[in-house]
Amino acid sequence: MSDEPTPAIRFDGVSKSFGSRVVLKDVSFSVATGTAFVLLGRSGTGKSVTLKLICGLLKADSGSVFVNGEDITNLDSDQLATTRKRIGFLFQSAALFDSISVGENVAFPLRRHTSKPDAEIREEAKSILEKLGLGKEYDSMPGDLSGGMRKRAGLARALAVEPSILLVDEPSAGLDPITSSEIDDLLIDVKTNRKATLVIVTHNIPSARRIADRMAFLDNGQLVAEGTVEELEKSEHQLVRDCMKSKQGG
Amino acid sequence: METTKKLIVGMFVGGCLLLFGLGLFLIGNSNQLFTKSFNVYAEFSKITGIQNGGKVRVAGMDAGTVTRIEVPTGPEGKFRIHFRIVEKLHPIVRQDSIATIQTDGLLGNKYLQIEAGSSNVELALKDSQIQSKEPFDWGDLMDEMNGVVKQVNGIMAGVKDQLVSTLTEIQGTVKSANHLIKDATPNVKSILASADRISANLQEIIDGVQKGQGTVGALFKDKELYASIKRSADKTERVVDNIRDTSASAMKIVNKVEESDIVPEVQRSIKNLQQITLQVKDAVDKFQSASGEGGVGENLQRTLADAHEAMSDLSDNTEALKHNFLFRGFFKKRGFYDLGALTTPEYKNPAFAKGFKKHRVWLDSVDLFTKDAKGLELLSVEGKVKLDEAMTDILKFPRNGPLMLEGFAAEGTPAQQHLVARRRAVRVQAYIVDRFHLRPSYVGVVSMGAEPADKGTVVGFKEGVGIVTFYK
Amino acid sequence: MENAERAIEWFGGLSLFAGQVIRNSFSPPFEFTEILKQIFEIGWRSAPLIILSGLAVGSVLSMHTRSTLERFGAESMIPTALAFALVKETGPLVTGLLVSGRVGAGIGAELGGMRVTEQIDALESLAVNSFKYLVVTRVVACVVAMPLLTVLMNFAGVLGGFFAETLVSGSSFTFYFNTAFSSLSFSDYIPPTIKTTVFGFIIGTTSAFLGYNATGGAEGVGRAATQSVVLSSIFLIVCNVLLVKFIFFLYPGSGS
Ligand SMILES: Nc1ncnc2c1ncn2[C@@H]1O[C@H](COP(=O)(O)OP(=O)(O)OP(=O)(O)O)[C@@H](O)[C@H]1O
Ligand SMILES: [Mg+2]
Repeated sequence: MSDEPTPAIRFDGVSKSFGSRVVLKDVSFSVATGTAFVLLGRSGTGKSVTLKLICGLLKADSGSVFVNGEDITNLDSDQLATTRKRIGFLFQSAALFDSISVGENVAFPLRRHTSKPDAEIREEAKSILEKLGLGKEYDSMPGDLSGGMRKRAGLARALAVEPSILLVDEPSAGLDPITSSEIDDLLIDVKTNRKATLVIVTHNIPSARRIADRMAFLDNGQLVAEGTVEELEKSEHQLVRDCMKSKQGG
Repeated sequence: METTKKLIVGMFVGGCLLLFGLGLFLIGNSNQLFTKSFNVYAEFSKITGIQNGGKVRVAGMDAGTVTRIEVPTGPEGKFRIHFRIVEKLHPIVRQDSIATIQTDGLLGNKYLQIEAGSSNVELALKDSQIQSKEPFDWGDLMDEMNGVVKQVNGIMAGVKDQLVSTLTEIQGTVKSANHLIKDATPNVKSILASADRISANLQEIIDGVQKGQGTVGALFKDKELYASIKRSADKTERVVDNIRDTSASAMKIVNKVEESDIVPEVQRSIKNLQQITLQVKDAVDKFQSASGEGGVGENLQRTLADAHEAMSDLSDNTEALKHNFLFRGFFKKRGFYDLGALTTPEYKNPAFAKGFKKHRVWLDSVDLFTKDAKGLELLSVEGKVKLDEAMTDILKFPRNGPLMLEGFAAEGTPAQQHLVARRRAVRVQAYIVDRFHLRPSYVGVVSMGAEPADKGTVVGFKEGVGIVTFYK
Repeated sequence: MENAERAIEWFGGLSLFAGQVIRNSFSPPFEFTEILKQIFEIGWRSAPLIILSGLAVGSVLSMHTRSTLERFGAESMIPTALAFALVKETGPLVTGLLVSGRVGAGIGAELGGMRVTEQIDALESLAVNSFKYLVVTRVVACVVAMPLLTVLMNFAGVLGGFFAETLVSGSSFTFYFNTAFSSLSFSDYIPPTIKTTVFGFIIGTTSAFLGYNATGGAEGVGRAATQSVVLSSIFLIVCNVLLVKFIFFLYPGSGS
């Protein structure tokens, strides 16, 4: 392992429970830098929790979460902030700041973490929004957008700081197939051209197949399968195989 | 965040701070913090709640604040109150100025009052001591009152004894005795009138306090004042009872003499012994010389005059009590209570009679007064008849306004004029209040000195009393 | 028993939270822009409410004092009595309660909403210290805005009193204000105004605590908002008793 390059993300025996509800039990996996990792699993199995653990928004009860070789459970808040500046996070609920406009949501991380002039920041935010088909929505308020538009705006905000790690929670939920595949293209572009590491939670198997370098299937708090697309198709788990056969998006 | 928002926040914060500063300024200004001032101090054995930052007034004008209070080291020591006075009032603060602790009306705030000094005395030095007078206490006033009343009692007892002994001595000279008693009667009566007035004053105060008890209780944290007034009233009631008792016995004697049932007694006595005849002769001699000079008669007159004076003081004191700020509104509603405090300029001010019509009756002092041995003016018998006539005229008018007695006098210095004029009015007031059962608070006295009130109507009128009734 | 335990635990949580607020407000980074924005929201936007209420409270107080003082012929004391009542107690307390109603509910709902819609997580994921950015700024803004609003309330109150009074007696503006403030001393004016910073802290901390830790979706947000108002009002009233006692202790002169 010492010869190999440090993986961008590594879970080492992570367990997480909320009160008496055990969500993750001794989960271990790693994601190599510059690859896309797709997390599958039934609803409520802990996919979103896994993403939050990576970002340090939740703390593992036991085990370690390494991001770029650093155990983020041991970082103080300043170091954690430094790490987070390199992480983009699209929340399942998009989590746009509803007190500021869509454009300002995207500009927010730029304003906080860069010292670029206002005009330049607006320009940059606008171009990201355009890439996601939201060019006209700079001044709209998040509450006025549709679910799918909010999702894209959230993705725009996650992409704004050009993260080296992008955590995406159900990017295509609520999107039409065309927009959905456009977003897949964008994610692939981010991975290949920016050498970013992607962790994607999705229920959309066709899109997962397009993007994923590796996949994992979470069930009952454990990774029941992990590997390439082909490996998962041949999984010994009925559930995993069934899932992989699904042609349905979303 | 846009610049406009920042601007608004700046203006909001700045504006509020400015307002706060304005408040500070207004307070500081009223405490004379921003004016040049000098420091002095005064000592008191009790400070009755004066506090750091308390107000200082020079001749009633806000002039500074208490800066520090030094506590005495032992029980016999005094509190030393340091305070500041604005420089601009320095000229009237002299070395003979006196500091007193006063109460400022409703909230009972204590303040330090500095009386203006005399012009022939040096200015008070900076950081020097100002003379002080210990705080006035209601209890003290009541004690004083009680003392006065006891004195009056003593005097009355003396009067009684003297009357009795005089009467026993002057067996057989019933006519002279009757005359003597008649002379004494007005004095005794006016004493009684004073006493009634005192008790009425106090009763009114107590009624007021009792009716407004809830409010008074809520407004005044300490019920001290209330309690002290109540205590005073109890005391006074006892005192007044005593006076009544005493005067009742006096009256009995007077009646006895007037009804002349002393005559058979005297006659019986005369029948008795030769010796007594001698005594009677003696007594008659004595009495005759007495009614002349230096005897029983003058003693009696003087005693009664003293008693009258003491009682007037007492009634003035109770009047002053009634004047207490507290009850002003209460009494204002019920009449012309303020008449007692009325000054001549206030009376002359057209505002006084505003809304009233008036009717005036003039009485010349020659018609009203006789002079006693000392040259003091007393109402003469004819004067009383004149007054009765004048009053029948006056009383025809509706009694919904004050009745004013204007005293006039043109002889002597202005001060003498004032005093004589006032005394004349007061004599008339005492008589008519008693005679016509007028409410004292309804009858005011004003000294006009040497000039008539309406220059146009009566030219050259200089000596006497004007009775003016105001009505609507 | 269990309830009591939970209440104590909750209170402990609040205390720790308050400590954290204090610690964080003195350590960089300081979110100045956010603080200004919150002063705008909490202070400036409350100003109309405060001024209107002040005018109303002042005129009503003035009418009541008039009817009482009239009986004693002490009408000239009306401005003084009104200023006393307003500056020493009514102004701070009414301002506190109004702000806890308007701002407390606002903070509780806003932070609660941000919590349950993952906006706070989103802030954190963008490397922003959400505690400093959301909580400290609001508490600081409350602490700053409360005394300012109290000053507004006091002046609006005296102005309202003036309006009520001038209708009856035609009193002059400058005379009224001068009399109103003339019997006050600094110890009547400054400590009660300064103490409202504590009110601000209570309102900000309590409602931010409830909002920041809200759970349970939209219903939880509603609960946070109502509890913010109720609890911050209660804490404020109770704390006021202690503060008044404390001020008497510091300035015995202000007791009368
Ligand atoms: N903050 C939290 N407090 C308590 N329980 C939580 C919390 N977050 C998640 N859970 C629980 O953890 C479990 C996993 O939740 P998670 O959101 O990770 O599911 P998911 O796999 O993302 O499901 P979905 O596909 O529906 O989004 C759920 O049962 C949820 O109730
Ligand atoms: Mg999820």
